[in-house]
Amino acid sequence: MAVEFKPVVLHGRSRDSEGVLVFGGQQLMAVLARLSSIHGAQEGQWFIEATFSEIPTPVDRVFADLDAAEAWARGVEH
Amino acid sequence: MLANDDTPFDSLIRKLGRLEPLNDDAASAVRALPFRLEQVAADHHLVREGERPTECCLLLRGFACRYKVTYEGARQIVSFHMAGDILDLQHLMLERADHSVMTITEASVAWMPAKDIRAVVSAHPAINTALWRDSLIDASIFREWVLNVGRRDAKTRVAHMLCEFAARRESAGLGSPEAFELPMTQEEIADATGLTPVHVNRMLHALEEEGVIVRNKRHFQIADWPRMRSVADFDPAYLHAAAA
Repeated sequence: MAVEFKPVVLHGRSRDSEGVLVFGGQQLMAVLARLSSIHGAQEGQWFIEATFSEIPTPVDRVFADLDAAEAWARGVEH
Repeated sequence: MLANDDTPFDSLIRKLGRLEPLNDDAASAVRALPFRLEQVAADHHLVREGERPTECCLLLRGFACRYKVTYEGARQIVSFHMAGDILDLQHLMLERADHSVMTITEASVAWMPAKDIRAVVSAHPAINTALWRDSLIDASIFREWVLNVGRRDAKTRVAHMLCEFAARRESAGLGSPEAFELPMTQEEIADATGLTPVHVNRMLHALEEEGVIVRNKRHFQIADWPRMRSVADFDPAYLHAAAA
């Protein structure tokens, strides 16, 4: 399954407004937001705002980078 | 067991006295309870789910929480506790611990045999009434937490938790509700509000940007109580005497 990221701006936010839609084929799997500087050491990581997939998410709902998010979307261990 | 002459029970007697006036005999009976003191580190388990405790744990100093975990290991903190709280009063009447209790800061606790507390409760109706009220107030707080976690948005949940902590802290004689050191980590606030630490961090920043709170690391100041109460949907009526 092809996994694609489509950049979006998340509405109504002064921070954490940079986002991506995660598509698996034609299906929207998740909405991620890039964590901004208010999150300290987690800045630049990707937070799962919403998921439409049955694939279990990390407990803290955070991916270190988009490669990790892609691995998750492919349903592999991450 | 140590001989007990004074302080360990003062906060408890003060608290029970707020719930139901205690005469001198009743206060003396509480002071005469056998106990053993223990100093514990943060993140120390006082009770684990499934245990069959024969002692009840009175928190003398520091902060603690009660929690349950899902099969997959996700933790829900169901209450926070402070000095003067009996952390597992249910073990007077229930044999098996149905949840776990752990410290969130360094703490001092006094362990009291449940059978001795039962004897004091039987002999002194005022103590019985006070502990019964304490349990009912606990239940009221749990109901409010169900509402908080189930139906409020993220910012309101976090603000409500802060308001409750401030109000209960004042009632426990631990200082002003307007400025305090928050003993919980953002992870613990997340586990208490059913949010992620990322959400908690965002909501604290939002409350700060709105001028409702001022923060410096763990030091919190509620800059505008009327607005904070409004943002938090906080009506202290559910705390009954725990916010007197």
